[in-house]
Amino acid sequence: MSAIRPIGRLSLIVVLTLITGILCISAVMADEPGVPPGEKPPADVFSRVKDAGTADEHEGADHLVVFDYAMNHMKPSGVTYVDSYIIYKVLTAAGCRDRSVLRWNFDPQSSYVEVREVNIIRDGKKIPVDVSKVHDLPAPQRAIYWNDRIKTLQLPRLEINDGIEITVFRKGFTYALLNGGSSSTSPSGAGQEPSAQAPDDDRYIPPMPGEYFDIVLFAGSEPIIEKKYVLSLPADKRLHSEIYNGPLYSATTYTGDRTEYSWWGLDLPPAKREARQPAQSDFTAKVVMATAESWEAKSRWFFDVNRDQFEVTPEIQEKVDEILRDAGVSKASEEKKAKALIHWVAQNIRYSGQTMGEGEGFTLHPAPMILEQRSGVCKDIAGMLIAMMRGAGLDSYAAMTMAGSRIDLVPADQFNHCVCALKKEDGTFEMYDPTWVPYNNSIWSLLEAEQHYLVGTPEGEFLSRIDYSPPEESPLIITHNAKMSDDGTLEGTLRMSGSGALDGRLRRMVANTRRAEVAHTVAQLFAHVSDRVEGISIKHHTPEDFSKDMWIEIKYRIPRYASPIADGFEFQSPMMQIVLNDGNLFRAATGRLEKERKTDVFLYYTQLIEGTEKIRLPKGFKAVDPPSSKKIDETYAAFKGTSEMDGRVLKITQHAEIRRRQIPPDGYGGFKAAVDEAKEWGGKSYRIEKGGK
Amino acid sequence: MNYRNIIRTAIVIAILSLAATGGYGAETMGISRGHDLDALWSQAQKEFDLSAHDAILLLESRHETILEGGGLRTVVHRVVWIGTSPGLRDHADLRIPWNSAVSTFKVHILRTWRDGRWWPDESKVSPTAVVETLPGAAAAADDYTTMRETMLLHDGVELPCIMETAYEIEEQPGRAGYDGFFVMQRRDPAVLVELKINVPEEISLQLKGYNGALLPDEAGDDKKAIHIVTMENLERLGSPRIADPATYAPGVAWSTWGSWAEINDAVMSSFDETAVLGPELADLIKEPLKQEPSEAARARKVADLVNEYTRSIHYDSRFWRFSPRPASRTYETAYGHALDRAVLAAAMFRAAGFKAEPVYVSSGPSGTDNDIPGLSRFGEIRICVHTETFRAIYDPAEGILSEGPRAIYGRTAWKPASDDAPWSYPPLDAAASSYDITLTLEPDGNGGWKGTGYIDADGIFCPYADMAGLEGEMKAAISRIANSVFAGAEVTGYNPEVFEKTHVAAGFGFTLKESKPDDHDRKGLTIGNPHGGVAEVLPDDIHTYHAHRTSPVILPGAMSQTVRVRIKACKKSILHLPEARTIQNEAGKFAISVEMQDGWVTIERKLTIIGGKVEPENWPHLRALLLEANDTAGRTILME
Repeated sequence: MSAIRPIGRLSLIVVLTLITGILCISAVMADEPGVPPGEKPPADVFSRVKDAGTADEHEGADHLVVFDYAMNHMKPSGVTYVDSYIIYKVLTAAGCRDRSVLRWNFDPQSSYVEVREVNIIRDGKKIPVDVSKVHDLPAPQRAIYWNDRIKTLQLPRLEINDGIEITVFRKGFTYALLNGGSSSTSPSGAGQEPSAQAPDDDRYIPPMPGEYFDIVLFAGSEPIIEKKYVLSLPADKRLHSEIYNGPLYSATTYTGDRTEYSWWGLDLPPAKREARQPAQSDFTAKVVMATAESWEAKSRWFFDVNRDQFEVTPEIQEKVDEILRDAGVSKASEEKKAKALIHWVAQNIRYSGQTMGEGEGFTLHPAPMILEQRSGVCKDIAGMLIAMMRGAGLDSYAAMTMAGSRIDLVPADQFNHCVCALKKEDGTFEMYDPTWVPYNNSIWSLLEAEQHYLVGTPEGEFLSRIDYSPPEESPLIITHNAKMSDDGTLEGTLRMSGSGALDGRLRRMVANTRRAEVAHTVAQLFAHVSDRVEGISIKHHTPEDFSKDMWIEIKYRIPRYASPIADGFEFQSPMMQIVLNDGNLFRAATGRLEKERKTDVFLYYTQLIEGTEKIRLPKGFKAVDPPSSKKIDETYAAFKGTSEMDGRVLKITQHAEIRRRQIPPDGYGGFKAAVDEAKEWGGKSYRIEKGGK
Repeated sequence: MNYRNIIRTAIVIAILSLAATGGYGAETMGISRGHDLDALWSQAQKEFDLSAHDAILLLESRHETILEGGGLRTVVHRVVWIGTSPGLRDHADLRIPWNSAVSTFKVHILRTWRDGRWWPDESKVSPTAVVETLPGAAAAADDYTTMRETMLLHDGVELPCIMETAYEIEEQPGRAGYDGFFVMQRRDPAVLVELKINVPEEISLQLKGYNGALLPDEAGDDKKAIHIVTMENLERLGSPRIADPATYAPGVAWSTWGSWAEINDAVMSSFDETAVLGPELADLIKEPLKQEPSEAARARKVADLVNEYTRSIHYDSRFWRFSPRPASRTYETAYGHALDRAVLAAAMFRAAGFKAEPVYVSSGPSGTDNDIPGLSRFGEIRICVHTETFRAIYDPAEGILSEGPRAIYGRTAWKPASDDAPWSYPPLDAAASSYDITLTLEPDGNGGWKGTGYIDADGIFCPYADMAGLEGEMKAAISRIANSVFAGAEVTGYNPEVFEKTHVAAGFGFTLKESKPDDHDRKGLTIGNPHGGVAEVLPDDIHTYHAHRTSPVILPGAMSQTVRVRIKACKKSILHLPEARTIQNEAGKFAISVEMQDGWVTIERKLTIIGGKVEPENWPHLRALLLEANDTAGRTILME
């Protein structure tokens, strides 16, 4: 997923005095006469560090944020100056060890970072750290290679209860959700101007000039004593803002030419960590703010900035004609042409993003560049499809979405992903996401159901949402036919077929496995049945053929699979062992399920599993009391398993449904009951005896 | 040339041209750094079937040049024909690590052959396709930020296609010697693999080929100036991948070190110079160490303090092999890679009264030999900590102090400060490691069981390292063992009979609660694999669900494991007992014996593995033993 969200930040010169005051308040002031009894003197860095408490008062925390203050001063152009000031306190030896290096991530194309002052607060004194030793380095990068940078600073050896006071100035905007370095770690001074080395402001005008947005989370991985975010806008700018996921304090004030908004929180606990959570922005307290007039205005802007990026060059046209011709759809419907094109793009433009320098972020790379490079991030892959669709005469547009979490109604750039929208004759849009459908027979991955999106059009669109995808759209159908010989050896054929999300899972099981390793990979799947598996042969639908859904058929043999116990044989359902132990096949069943949840479980997709297993028993044998599972039918999930003898055949079935991709805490109990019952069913032991009962 | 010959020649040329260009057009790839790429591709099509592979290396070339006046230039030249998504994943985006403090990096070639032309250009490297990045591990380790991982991103990749890469890393002078081990066989099949080594005439180069790699004098090249080892039409490395493929794949060891002693000088001079505690740190550790009541406890405390003071940076410390940071700097910065933490730990161990010296351990069993002096096949550095009465191995990357020899069992090790050359542990003629457990159970009158146990283990199985300590380690270790054989067993008492680094014997008492009835309303006992036993010391690449493998298994030694269970039970209450059986083959033996006498059932399960190298064709034998040892029926006891 690539980043397409610029964040603007400003500093407010007006509050220079105030902030400077805060910074300059010294311990001496606390001793000054005139503070009424019962009143605390104004806080300073020393009192803040001291009052923050010790490890005993913050159980489990190795360090904490004592004070996090960001003053964002927006200029009329949209360029934002940010003075940030942050105080950490280290509480334990592990904190001393783990906080020894400070880091600031930034993209030099869009933002400027200046580390102005760093002090260690120890024993009521400031120990200055030489900020001339800040290193400016290439950032660690993976898959997105936009020449991001990182600044690092080595701190002297820390001691327990040390404070770290950091003042940083930033300007510009950054691509949020790209690398994780951002406002919450960037400290501040006091409305100061950038140093002489800072490049001109023009370079940092955001992609949507004159506009500002931000999404500020009020929780991190450590406790926060106080966090305050201040935004100063020119008086003619209007702001949408809303607090989500919890209470915060807020205030608004103004002067003659500016309006100032503040949000702050006190004693904020660390964000709750649980397995398979949605993005933190979905459940921790946050403020979402934007000056953009509306989603429609943002839609129009997005269309405008990219209107020249989809040129259909002769090379692109030639490729489009070739793809349609090879697929036999040159004269077919829009739908068929679009399907041929999306799968070509998904399969042939690999996810590896090179930069084009200036204009990165919201601006999609030109399609001819991507055709030549055959690689890019989501916006490039989407852009390639848009150009190709246009080359095929289809009315296509770029759109933005937020993969893996929700978009709230404030028209801020809550996006991390770029996709393609095809406008149909009736004026509606059909969504295509080539980035998420390599080896997937869908035009839009069902891992992205219920996701919000915004299409960029000349007319302007409102925020839309992908429909709910019921489990039936992502079925896994398993049939297992086997025969057991009289020494317990099992020989059979397991066939798995899938649609929707499960089509992709099955395709990738084959396509992402090295050819020479396919047999080993399948054997690993069967290892949960028995390590004795042998004679594996595999047939499957061609993963690159999207004309049909994927299926895999595995023939195998397991000598002495059933255990000879007390004049009979005993075994478990091979089908259930395979399904329950592979996350590709039954995502919800793998991994530990906690007793209860405080946050949602995020599974990405709904799922249906229909499994039928028929095991022909050795002559004269019958199953003893074939069991059935409990029937669990809850709001978010269901499970039922049966078994019965049909002549010499033991028939075992399973029916599982995961009905929502995101399970809230109040529905977790029912969801867990269904998954637990599936596991219980998988653990059932079948006993067969000669003559049976 | 007569007419017929001309026609014949023309036909041959036409066929070759067609073969060489395939479906990619009429252009040719041409000659690149002395290699005829079209000829290599033609040979690839003749020798290999791309539809059966993910990628085929047309060329894998490594050229090492020892520079006049010192320094080392390494040029890697790779041409690969890919056909699948895994092939693309492995070869399209390359991450090349190098240390900018002591090296320079240059890209010579980065291009893709598709549709009869080179993308993006025949000779120019796209400026956006070469991206300097910082290793993730270095982002939180300011002193290591000279490390770079340069990304080489191939443009124009579409399956199938051919990608060519050539880059050069030149290391500045400063090292007394160089060595390397180049495995000729690669993860993909290869048409031509070559290793070239240039050395100035005054430097003597030692070379040795392994597993069929022919040396240049045998190949007839000029030995003085340039040494070239080539192999053609090599199949891919075996599967699964093992810890040290050099143990079976063709490979070449090379070295400019005159002897192991020269390496010792280089290692120890920098190590000893830096492994010194400043007064501040010496004072700091004095108090916590003073509280510890024994040598072993002091050593453990030092290991704890290193973990408390510093983060372990998991990045290959061999980039700094002869230039560790001073111990005081590692402490000051609060982090270190394996070498730097080794230096800090050694300084602290020495201050605490121990001898502490570097030890290099091979990355897999049977990893190296002594003929060519070099550290290439050794893994990360460790520290041997000892006094006259105490000995342990400290792993600085993981921060673990291991008492007893388990950490080096089955490996080759070298302590530069005290060994003339590497040595194998245990010696080749060592007896098999033995693990013998006996558990005796009788009903407790409440539906559960009470019993006694006895463990006798040595060699690789010796649990000394788990048991040594002052905080209940022995009880915890015995509980783990009892629990692994009978799930839910609770140890009530224990006493060691023998407690040595290489041999432990101990008795214990335990109870076992009444088990819940199974799906068929029976009560049962299942004999599990003992903790620390065979299943846990086998190499990680052993997966018994693999019916076949094409790589050998390198075992850490011969071993024998016996689990003996005695249960007091009347015959009529027993519904199922394991069947007596024996399986014996070239890999060893597994036997179950069952005996019923005087109201006692005795079940003995004995697994003996011969050890050494198990060739792929013998894997089914070893697998058969392991499968039998894991068979459910052979470990289940059912009662009414």
